[in-house]
Amino acid sequence: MATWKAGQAQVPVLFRVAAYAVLAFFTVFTLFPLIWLTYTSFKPETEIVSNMVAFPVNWTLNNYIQAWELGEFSHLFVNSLIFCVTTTIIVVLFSISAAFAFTKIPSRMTPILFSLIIMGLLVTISSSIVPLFIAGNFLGLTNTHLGIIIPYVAFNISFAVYLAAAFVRSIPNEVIEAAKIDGAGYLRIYGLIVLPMARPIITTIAIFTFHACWVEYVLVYMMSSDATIRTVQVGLSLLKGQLSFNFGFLFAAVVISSLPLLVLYVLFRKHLQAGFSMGAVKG
Amino acid sequence: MGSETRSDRFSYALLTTPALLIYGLVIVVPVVYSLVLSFTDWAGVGIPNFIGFTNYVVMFSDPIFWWGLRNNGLVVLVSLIGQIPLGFFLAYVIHRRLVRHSGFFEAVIFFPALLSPVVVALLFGVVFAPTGLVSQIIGRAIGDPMFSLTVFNSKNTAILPYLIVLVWMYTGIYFIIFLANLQKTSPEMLEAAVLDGANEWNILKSLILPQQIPVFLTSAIYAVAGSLKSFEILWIMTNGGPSYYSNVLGLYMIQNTFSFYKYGFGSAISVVLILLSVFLILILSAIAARFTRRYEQGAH
Repeated sequence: MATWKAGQAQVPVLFRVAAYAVLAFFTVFTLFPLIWLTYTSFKPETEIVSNMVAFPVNWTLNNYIQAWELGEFSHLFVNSLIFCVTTTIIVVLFSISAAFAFTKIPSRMTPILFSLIIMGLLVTISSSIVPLFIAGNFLGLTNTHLGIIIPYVAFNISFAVYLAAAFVRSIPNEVIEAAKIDGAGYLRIYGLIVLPMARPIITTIAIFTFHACWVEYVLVYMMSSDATIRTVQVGLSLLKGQLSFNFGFLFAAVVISSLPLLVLYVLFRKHLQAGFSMGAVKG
Repeated sequence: MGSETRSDRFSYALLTTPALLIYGLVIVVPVVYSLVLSFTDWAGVGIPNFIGFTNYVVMFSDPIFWWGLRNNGLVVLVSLIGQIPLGFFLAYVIHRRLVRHSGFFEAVIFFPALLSPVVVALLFGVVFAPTGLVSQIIGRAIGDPMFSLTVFNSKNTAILPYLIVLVWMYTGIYFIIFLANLQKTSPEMLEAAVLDGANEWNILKSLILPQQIPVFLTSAIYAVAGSLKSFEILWIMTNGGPSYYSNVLGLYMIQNTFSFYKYGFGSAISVVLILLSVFLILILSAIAARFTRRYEQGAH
């Protein structure tokens, strides 16, 4: 990091004023709705109807108890976890191995295959939901766990390969050449050298993929006419229709559904930021 | 590296096939399939009839399509002239430590990007509802308890809450991208500039901004691709309403396909969306190439 301090350069006053103004605006705009949402979730319905803005007078946990039961969150959480954990494991395994082959095993196929996978960065679930839905019906994958996990892996693999390739490329070729001279084949080099070295990028890919799966909504909504495979996000969106006027209840459900993200944020903020930032960093 | 041996080729195939297979089946095949379907009248059952460009002709004469395109245009615009410059400004301020408590601000700016679109839509659906939080706060401020904000129900401004939410939620991503890149600026160069008596404005204009041009370009590409295709927040927040005033093309596609069972027509909308983003990305790349060339010539 830099050794100098900002005070060493002359900062025009206007600069500082503008900086504080924009930051203050952003902070209020971010914190106020979230704080409002949180305290409203502890508010009895009568108080919400009489005054939407005010702080609760009689704090209550009733919204939470009702939301948990009516929203069937225990079962939604299990589904979300199954989808996200499975997807994350598969994405990590597939992307590191593909990235290793693309960057360290010489092949004439690499330019074509690698760019084909990277082009997937521009394809989102919502833009190919029609053919996916048709294919899901055709293959009998709607309302199955596999029908969710396979597309999840596919939609996360491009970015994971992109991140992994940047990392594996930075492993010196000498390391790999030395292992080859010692008689190791590429598969052994992959398992014994590359995988253990790739721990930091594996963590970033895993956290990023898990987050992407956890907040995804369109695919599960479309592929689950059946309640048994719904996730937290889909359950949450359906609550809106059932109880659109009881904000306290709805917001309790929102808080419940967001707690895992909060934990993820507190524990892995640096990894999450790394995942987001590497998207547009030029190596 | 040596020549390709048989065992090398085997390792290569073994390591790349799982990723390629699943990617090809779920991403490549459907995109091609979608293109084929867009020339048919398929309704989800029966045999599709080939109808040429009819879907496209019908689409271009539908006012809902044009209104969705207009709203998509606004979404792209807000990303390009709102989120990206704001994200850069915030990153610059934090990186140069122009304010105190930068760690706190960093956390606050980034956090909304992590929330789920469903949560954001539910929250801001209530915030901007006709009798929602914003209306109530204004109503209390002017002493009229029956006050109701109508601006979000009128044709031209119905998309406004969504645009505000987009800036709120996604500026944090560009902020993080710029922050990571700003940290690569060499401290020696900055120190030299400061010793030469450069003020903050000089440093920003001559040293830091030119270095960030490639980051602006990649950010812009992500912004265009993302903003044309995503619509989840809007889906839950307004479902395109009132009437179709806040519709975007992504929603138009969903409505036609899954409410009216016009799979062929829906696929045609998907194709138009893909072509639009490719077109915009090509324009952006051309503009950026010009900028970079001018900067390089200026530097010589």
